[in-house]
Amino acid sequence: MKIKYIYIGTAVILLAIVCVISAFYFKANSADSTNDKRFETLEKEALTANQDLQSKYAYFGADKIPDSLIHLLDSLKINNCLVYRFTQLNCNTCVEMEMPKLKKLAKKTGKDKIILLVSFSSTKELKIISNKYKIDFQMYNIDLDAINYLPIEELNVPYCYIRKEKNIHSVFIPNKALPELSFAYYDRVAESFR
Amino acid sequence: MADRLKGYEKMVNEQQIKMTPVSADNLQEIKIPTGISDSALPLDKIITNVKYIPLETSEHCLVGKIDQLFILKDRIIVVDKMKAEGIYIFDKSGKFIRAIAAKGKGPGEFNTIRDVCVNENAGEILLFDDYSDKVNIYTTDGRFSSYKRVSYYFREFALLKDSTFISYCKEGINEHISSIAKFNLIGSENLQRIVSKSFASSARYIKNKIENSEVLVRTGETVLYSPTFSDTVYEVSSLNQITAKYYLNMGEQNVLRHTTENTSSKEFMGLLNNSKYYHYNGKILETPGFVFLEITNRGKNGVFYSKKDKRICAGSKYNITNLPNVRFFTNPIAVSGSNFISVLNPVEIATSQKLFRSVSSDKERNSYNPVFLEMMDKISENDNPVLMFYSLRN
Repeated sequence: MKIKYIYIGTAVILLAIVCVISAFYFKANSADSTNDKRFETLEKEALTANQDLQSKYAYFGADKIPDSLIHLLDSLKINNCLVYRFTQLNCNTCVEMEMPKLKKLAKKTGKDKIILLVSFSSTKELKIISNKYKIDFQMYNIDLDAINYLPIEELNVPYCYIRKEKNIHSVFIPNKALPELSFAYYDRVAESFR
Repeated sequence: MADRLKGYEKMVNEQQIKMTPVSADNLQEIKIPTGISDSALPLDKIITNVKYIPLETSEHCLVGKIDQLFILKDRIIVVDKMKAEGIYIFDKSGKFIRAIAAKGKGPGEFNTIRDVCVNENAGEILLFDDYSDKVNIYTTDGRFSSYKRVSYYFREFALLKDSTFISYCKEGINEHISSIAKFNLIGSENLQRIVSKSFASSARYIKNKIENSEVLVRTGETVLYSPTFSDTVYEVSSLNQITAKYYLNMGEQNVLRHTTENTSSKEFMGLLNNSKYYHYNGKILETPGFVFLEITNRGKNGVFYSKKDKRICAGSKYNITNLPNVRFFTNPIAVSGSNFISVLNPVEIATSQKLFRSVSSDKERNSYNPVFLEMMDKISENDNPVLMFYSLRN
């Protein structure tokens, strides 16, 4: 009789565990799906708001990193990181709008997961930017044309991507008029680094 | 934007806002000659008493671009609105004293620098932060002392000798106060109590959305006002007295004679790229003996006018002996007594050093002013700008 109760008790506990796990699983999936929907909407908004060349690159794709950039990034000995790229010629406001979001992202991922790849011919100008935004990410200053074979460089706008296993993933051009899109992107970046 | 100031209109008694009369009793004509964009100004022949002040360069005082410059008795105040976003205070030899550059919402902090004016008598620097609807007040040593809320928005402001303020407002930014919404020049006692208005926005200005590079210029005891799309410069002596001071006679080359209210911005810019037309862009400086003006025509042209003999020296570029097209020299941006002050760009100085060495023999180099040679040798491209003080030869 006693053994029968033990079996029933164990079965109830197991069932409860299965229920809890399933609940967590469905909740996570539904959050993912909500995030996906939110992201899809934002992405559509971005694409319809900008019919110019920029919007084509706001699409999330993957691209092979050119060899020279692999060498550069290998020398940093960091894999799986977010690279934010901007130059001296880019719009100041665009960079200014993105910095607080990157700092917020760094709180979730750790600041070593974010790298700034910049091109400034004047070290003074770079120092001014660095002081102004209180930048404490790793920052690498490369020649303006060092990676000009990347088509996105032609656009002359700040952009970011995830560097993972020697590939460029999830290229994204933040749009200062659509901060929600950036937040959604960085949420995904944070998730992918977990 | 004006929504943020809703409620502040209660501080303003609209009945008390009077129209300032504008007179033209002593209008002086400055005749702008043709062909100035093809001319070069012989720098070493027209300027004298040259003094260079390199602004100290250190980690704490990196200046990107000088947007406003104030020369006081014992201080040099440099405003960089966009790049470094700060006010940098130096002594008269260029030694750095303090920076006002803390961004935020706390005491003494700011979000944007819309405009800066200086009250030398009171030893105050006033910074208008239109994002936070306030004016921060600092001492000329850079210490924060207080702030005041504003009841209306403006793009530029200047202090008159009786300690009242004259402000330049753009169409549409003050819709919360209907009686001033369509006026460009607003006078107030303390940036809260508005007492005067003048210069209704012109239709073509509103339509084209073209603005002058500068509108209000403090000069001696008065303020000069150059409305956008105008060839007349007005002097604001007090909130009750505005006088048309200079009429810039550009003849048939005046672009305004070839535009109407229906001319679009694109057409307007097209006309300005045509060497036939001139446009006065609002930049004016005045010393007791001379007036400097900027006339746009395929680029900016510098015009120096002698008040005494009514002669003009103008051109689109500057030359010195054996060194044509001196790119590091730029049009003046401030005055101090009888001196004009130009900002020399260190990157351009560094570029010119190479050119200078290649075109000058030792003998030629020795013929230059040693102060100039010393400045050229000292400056590197990562230094802060150099201020060049000079007066004009009669």
